[in-house]
Amino acid sequence: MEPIIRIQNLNKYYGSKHVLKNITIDIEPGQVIGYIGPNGAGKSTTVKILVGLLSDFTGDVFVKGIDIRQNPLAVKSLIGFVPEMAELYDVLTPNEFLSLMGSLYGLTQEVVAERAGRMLDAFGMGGNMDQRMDTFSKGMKQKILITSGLLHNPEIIILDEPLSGLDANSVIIVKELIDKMAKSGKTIFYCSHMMDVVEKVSDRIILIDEGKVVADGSFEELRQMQDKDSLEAIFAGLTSTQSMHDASDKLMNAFD
Amino acid sequence: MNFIDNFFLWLVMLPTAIYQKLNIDQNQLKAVLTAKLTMDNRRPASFGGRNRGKEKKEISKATLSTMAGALMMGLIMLYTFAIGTDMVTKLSMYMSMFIFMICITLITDFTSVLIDVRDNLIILPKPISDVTFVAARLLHITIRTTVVVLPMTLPGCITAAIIQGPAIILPFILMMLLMTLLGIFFINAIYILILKVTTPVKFQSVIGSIQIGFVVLMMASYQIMPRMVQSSMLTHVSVSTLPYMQFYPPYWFADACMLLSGNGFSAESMMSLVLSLIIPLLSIWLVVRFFAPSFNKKLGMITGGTSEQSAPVKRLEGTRRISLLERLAGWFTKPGAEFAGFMFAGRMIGRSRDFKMKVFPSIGYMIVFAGMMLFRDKSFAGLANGEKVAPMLLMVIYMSSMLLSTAMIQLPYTDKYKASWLFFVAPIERPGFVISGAVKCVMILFFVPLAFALVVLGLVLQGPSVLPNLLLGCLNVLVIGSIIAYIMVKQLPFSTAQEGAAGGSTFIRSMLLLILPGAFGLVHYFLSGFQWVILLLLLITAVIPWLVFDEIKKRDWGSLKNQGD
Repeated sequence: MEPIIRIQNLNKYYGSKHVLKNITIDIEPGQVIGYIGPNGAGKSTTVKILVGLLSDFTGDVFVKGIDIRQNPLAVKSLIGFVPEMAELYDVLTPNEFLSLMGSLYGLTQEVVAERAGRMLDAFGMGGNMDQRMDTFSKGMKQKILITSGLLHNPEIIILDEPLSGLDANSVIIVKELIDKMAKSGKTIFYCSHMMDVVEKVSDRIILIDEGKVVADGSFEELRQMQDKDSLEAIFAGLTSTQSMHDASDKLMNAFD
Repeated sequence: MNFIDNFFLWLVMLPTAIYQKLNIDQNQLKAVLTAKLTMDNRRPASFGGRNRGKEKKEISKATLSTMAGALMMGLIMLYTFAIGTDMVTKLSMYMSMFIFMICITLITDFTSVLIDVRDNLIILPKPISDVTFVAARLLHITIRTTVVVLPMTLPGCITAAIIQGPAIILPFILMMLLMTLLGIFFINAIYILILKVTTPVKFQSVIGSIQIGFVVLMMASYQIMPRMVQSSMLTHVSVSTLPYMQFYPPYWFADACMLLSGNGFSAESMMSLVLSLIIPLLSIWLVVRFFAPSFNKKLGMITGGTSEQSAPVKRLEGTRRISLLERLAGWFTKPGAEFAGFMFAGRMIGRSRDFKMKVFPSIGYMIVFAGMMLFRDKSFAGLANGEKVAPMLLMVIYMSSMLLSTAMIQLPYTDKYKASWLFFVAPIERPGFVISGAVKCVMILFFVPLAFALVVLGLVLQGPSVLPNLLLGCLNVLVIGSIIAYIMVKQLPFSTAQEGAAGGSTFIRSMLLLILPGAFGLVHYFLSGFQWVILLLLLITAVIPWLVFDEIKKRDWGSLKNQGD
């Protein structure tokens, strides 16, 4: 099968800092990719390149066979993006915000109103459609962001910590939603620090550290390879330079 | 912290014995005050808020600029000394002005001091006693007030001493102090009132509107005050001859001030003295005893956050209501990005506090200026007879291009610039479409209603013969507006941080703002007599904005400075 996302020899520098080093990944349609790595590993940079925010990289990125640098618009139309801790124009109401997003993706106002209404109803926020978002809680804003990323029914969905701030019930909804979307053939690119969630939702886990892919495979494969029980342990085994116990010991010793 | 803050901190930490007696933890007190004063110093000053484009990267001298601003206001208030025939009148005027100014300043300044949501999260969970915390808050407010009151009253005090002799200095200072207390009472009353009529969540936005109103008023008063004094009528009044003056608080203070400085003893001035002493003290007692407790309870609700969240409303099923804005967007823009830009700008303009703070003062300025144009030299009488209608209206039309330009220039800026990521991930061919939509929206909101009103006014006052010239004027303003938009709006709407906004181009900007409408207006004025030239020009100028808009739409991603990260 033709990979829906093909990243080849991707390199990215911030000034002289080499943040992505020869990343090569092929992603099949319908996969849920758990993209994990420690702070500063290059996760956000990869995401920014995929959604078209950064274009000064070397290497190739193809989405559904389209070169992202040749035709960024076609790629952007295919992708739905839910950014991490995003800033919102919170003086707008969800209705207005989603109508803005919809217009930018070429949807008519009627379609936006219809879809947004149904999606927010499903999130239990139908009654908040016409209230300004500046009074919203973090979880409510996150629900709006998720809705805005899915509004144009994209084939690829890039989620950056989508569960932050959500209550337990909404977490279940979103996790099941990811599952259902993948079954319907959508590709999910899921970035997170929450190892237990990544472990459960992902078909394939890609672990990057210091700009390099250090592990790539299903949770089962990684487990056998590393001989560890949890993704947390695998993560620690592959990325930490010093033992965690050392660090916590040092923290405790600071009081002496 | 600068030397002023350090001085005040040192001063308030002096009475250690009192603090000990009250069981106030002095280390905590000092720590809280130090942090608060440092933060104040980095907050935009209430008076310095309008220095467009000149903002430094990091605000670090806010206290000093607040003091400088207060001093400026104090100097402007000196105009009141030119009013009236006697000292009591002058002082009454001065005191009225003072209490107005102090109320407004307190409302803009205190809101951030009183309603610091972070206190509840950062300070209150720590082992700090209530009395220490309350002391810190009170001292903080006292310092904040002093920082404003001191420079503001200094020019008045000196002037009064020059006119009346040094004996007035001490009474003057005493009265200022009492009036400040009264001001604090008024502010509390206003706070309580606002909290009564709205929800605590909306409280801050109401205060925000008051702040904007304040800036508009300031702009207007810069213009009106000097001219008011020039009109000879005011210099010959004496308040003592006016009835009911005994019920006007600033009059008590003025009267008492005169009495204490050894001028004019009378039963009435004795009464004034008693009132000016008792009322402020009584009102402060009211604040402490009754207002503060209920206020703090309500305040807890503001900081409580979600508890006061407006309840979800039932969504109406069925047909979607199409707003006026959406209709306008449909008429003037193409669907997609341009439509989105129009709607987005239209909704943000009315709600973005930054935008309102920067642009609305120009509206006040415009109104005042237009009013003065019409009333000056009794030209209004001429207008009513149908003379000079066209030049007068044309003048206002060209003037209004300043407002339009100010709005244009402000369009890309906001505090929430990070929220603009959405434009960068959406499949927009060229950002020019969004910009063009937003610029069209600004034109329709900030010029079309005024143009419409002026054309109607012209028709009423002079009849159809005024039309060609007025229409040409309106079209010219659209041309000016679109040219300014082409030159100045190089970013997506509401996508850029205000800091260092177009710092180097201030000169070009003011050139454009003044010279463009001036040049257009002047040429128009000289040609206004030649009917056929005007008609010809009408045809030509009608095309120009569309051409400029086509150019704006061509703006591509490479031309943007910020790249959405």
